[in-house]
Amino acid sequence: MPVDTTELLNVLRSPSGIDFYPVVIQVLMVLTWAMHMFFINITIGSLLMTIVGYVQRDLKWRKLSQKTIKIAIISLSLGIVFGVAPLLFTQVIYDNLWYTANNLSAWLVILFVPIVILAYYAAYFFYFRNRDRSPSWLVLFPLLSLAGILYAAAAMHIFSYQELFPDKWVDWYTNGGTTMNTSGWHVYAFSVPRYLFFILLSLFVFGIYMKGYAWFFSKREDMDQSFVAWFGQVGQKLAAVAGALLVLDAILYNALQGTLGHPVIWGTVGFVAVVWALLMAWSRSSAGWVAPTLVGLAFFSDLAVGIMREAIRMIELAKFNHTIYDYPMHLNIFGPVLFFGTLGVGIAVFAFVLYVLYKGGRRAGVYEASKVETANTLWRFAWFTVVMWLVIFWGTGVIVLANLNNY
Amino acid sequence: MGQDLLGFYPQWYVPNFGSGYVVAAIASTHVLFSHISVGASFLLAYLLYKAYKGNHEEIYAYVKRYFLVLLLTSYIVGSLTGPGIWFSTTVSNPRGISALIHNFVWAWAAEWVWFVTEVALVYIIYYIFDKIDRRTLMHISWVFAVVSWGTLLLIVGILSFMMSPGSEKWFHTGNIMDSFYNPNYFPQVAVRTSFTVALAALMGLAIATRMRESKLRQELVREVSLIGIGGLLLAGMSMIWYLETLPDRAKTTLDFAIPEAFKNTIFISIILVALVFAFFYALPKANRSLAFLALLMVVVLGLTIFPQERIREWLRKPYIAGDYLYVNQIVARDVPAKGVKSEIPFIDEHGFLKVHPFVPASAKTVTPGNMLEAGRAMAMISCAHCHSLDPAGPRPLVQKLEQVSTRPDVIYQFIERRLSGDPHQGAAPYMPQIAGTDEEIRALAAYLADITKQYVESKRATEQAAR
Repeated sequence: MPVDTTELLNVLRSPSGIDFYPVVIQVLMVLTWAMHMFFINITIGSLLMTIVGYVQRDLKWRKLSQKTIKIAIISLSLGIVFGVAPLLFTQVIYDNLWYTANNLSAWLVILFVPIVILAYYAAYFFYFRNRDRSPSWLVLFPLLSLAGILYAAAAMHIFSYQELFPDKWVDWYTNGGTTMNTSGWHVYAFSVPRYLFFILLSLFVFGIYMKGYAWFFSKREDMDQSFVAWFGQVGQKLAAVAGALLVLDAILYNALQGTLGHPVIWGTVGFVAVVWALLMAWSRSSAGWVAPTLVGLAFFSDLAVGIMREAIRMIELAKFNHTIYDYPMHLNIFGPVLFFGTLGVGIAVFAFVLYVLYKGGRRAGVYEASKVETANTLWRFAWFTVVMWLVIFWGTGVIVLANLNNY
Repeated sequence: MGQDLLGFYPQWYVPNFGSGYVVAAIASTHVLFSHISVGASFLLAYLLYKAYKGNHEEIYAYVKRYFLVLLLTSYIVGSLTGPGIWFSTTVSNPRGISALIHNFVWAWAAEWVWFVTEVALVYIIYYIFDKIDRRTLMHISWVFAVVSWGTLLLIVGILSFMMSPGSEKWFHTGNIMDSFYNPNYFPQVAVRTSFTVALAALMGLAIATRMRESKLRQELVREVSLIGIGGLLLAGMSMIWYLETLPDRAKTTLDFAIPEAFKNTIFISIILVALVFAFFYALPKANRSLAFLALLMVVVLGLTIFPQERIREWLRKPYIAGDYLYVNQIVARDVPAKGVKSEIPFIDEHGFLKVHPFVPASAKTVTPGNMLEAGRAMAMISCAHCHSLDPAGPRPLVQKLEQVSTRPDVIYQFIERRLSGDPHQGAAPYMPQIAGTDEEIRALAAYLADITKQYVESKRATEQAAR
């Protein structure tokens, strides 16, 4: 007797349920995924431009590759750390989908770690060796790095895509009810338009980021301003081409998925199209607000894509009468208090360091932040909140344990 | 229950190696690099304070180099192997990691806040090291130290719960706090924090080999060595406290089931590291070989951290998490506050093969014709999380059963006794209770007898060929 998909989706949920409103976890998942994707987009885009820049004969392009590889290694780090949160939240509300999709193709997720480590070291090696007159074969390293990151992207794509077919999981794994595919080497589903969509998104977002980079360093007297301006123009061209292809590919993928008619899909794809139109409309504007506004909109494009991705998942699951909103819940507020409290402290710390980074980054020479009242105030507040976090954290522990021993 | 299935996932199996070793390799690597980064954050904040007070340019150069090494090691390998533990446990023990995720999502989310802050800060510190005044640099480094430690403070709550909730309270309240702050929490924080300092000191000695010889370098080597000895001493003392807080089941396993060689290896490797610290404290000029210290770190990874991680996993048995979820994915006791019910009665009544969604239709019902196929499916879902079904890998069943019998009926009796869950019948405290119908257990015994027989015959043939 075939397995009932609705029952399967329900029984694969954690028997202990969740401890807070699923919609809150869903919002956090989409939001943090957008942050993760923003940095991964920058990583992929910057690695590609590193390769393109390095193979040109013009020294200007070589210098571009020196800038973009530095962007790549930092954004890869940030992409990884921001990726932890959506990975966490998806395991809470989509545990049934995530664990199954991973176990169907187990080796893909295991190889993810060593391959990204190798990609990272290849990028770092290139970063240290990339000089104005370094040999052309060195380009193998950013190529290797990009290949590694694209592998990781493919693995994540496969999991996310296999998630959308719960009615096929058992047949896939058992070869139609005859065996158990325990090897973990199988790939059961792959969508080229969907995968390509994220690559194009990377080029679109990174092109805009290059414009933002040019804006940020436009006041630096110790930098070659003609190069900085050119850097931004390259970004404009990249984003213009990639953005147009991105919108077309989004329409193609949703048409193939059968989700094109849904209003959320129209809204999110439409938003990306509007951002692309604004990029084109403001292409010749020299106003100071244009580049930072576009960078903000690039992030919101990632957020729109995150919402689109989530909408597709919900549409597909609705076919099996499955929704995360009825996930059994045992409300417990201590956990959310711990998280949101820690988040508040983290924001206080970021307010201090980002202020110092912004002010210091936009000028030449040493920035004397400790002589600036605003920086000092932000530092004192950040330190106070961090110490208070420790006090409350330890204090709670002592109280809980004292009560535990009396239980 | 009003349902036919239970929530078991597709199973991944690595022949002759075991998915558990994959997890252990990733986890041990993560422990080494993440612990170095936590200890280093305090060491570097202290050194920046010292450099600021004494205006020591050489210390600034040392600290900057240390930060670069951290970026290239802990913040690549450590950062990736962290999610790597999730990835590997997702495919080796999905319900185990799911149980932890669903109880501790917010603690993990809080840890993520510190993780993001920590990684952002390490990049900011390194890249603006010479572009910012040194007082501010020192301030940022102290924040970096506390948030880096914060990641450890949060993850230890989850790790200690894995060993045991430590009381009955959590089962009845379901409150995250009652499981996070369990009796094992503070001792484990003390052990790990002390050990991070020692590891950071070891890394510190390695980086000091790249400094040119000077009085300041010698002072630094001596100071770092002393810090290393202090870290090890504190870790040793905290370990006594830690062992006291283990559940009785784990203490029995530690005393009677874990080979002495495992424990001795850890002890000797720690003494070796302590002696190295003492040697460099006495003769700081001798600290010149980067290769030696890199090798020592590999020794620590292989002979201290890896066996320690294996022992910690062993001590949890038969559970994978929270004293309620067996390592073979079966919920083994009720957690009333969470509405969790033991799955053993349901499986005993309906059959493990039947309620497992990813067992093929051809093996769902045991018949004389599919005995071995159904038995293999049973072995896969009941045993293969810990035991290799092949001659090599973790705890191969054929090597164990070779000493019992190759007869299905004897193996059946052995399973019934050894996995009865009742110590009076001879059940091992670290083995889960067998779940399934009598036919399924007989099929399992038939399969195990078959592979053991094949193993014994092939071994005999090899021995004869060798003669």
